[in-house]
Amino acid sequence: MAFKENLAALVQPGLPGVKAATYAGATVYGHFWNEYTDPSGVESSAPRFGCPAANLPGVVHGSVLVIEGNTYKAVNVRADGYGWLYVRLELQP
Amino acid sequence: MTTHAAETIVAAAVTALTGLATTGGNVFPSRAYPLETLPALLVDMADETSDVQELQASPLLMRNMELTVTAVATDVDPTTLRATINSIRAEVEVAIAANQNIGGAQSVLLSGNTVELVDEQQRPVMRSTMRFNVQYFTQLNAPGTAV
Repeated sequence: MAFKENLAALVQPGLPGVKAATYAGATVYGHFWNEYTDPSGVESSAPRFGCPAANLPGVVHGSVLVIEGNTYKAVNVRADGYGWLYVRLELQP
Repeated sequence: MTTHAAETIVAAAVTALTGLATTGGNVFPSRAYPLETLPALLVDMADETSDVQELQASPLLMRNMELTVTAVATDVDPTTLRATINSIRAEVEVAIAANQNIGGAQSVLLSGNTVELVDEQQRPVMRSTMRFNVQYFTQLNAPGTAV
């Protein structure tokens, strides 16, 4: 039997990995990953934010998200086709 | 331990490239591990070919060693990032031009440059690898002394 998943339930505050982000003046919730990486031979991390598309209406390249006090710009927006967005982030100075 | 002339040349290149305006003291010879602070320079040796120049009791070898100098920088603005890399390139080329006889070399001439832009981390990183052809001579049985 087909069913419709409640994506909002996956990003409830307090769930593991769920962080608050400020986007367009509002607080939204999603999963935030920022694991270590060094593909360029430089110590760094790869910040990404994943959430229901409804949490980031109108997000495009250059949209600003503030997470844990850091300001990021969206540099890649990937919709999975099922209502979920993955946003690659660039840490701003 | 016997020191090869190539080691003397690479060490002299590191000295010549330390203290440049953009990269300062961030100069790392043969660094295997990830960098922590940018901008930086990576200095290393690569392939070398040699040829006999004089047949005598101890033949004279003409050697051509590739010296690599990699500029690494990061910035959120792509234009600024490219400009920074090109500034570093200019500083390196001027410094090498002024030190043509490092470590006993006959000449150190730019032979090429490769640029790589990596975007898989929190900020773009550009790497520009300058390749210099270092020509030097040694006796066959005395590789530690450039003549």
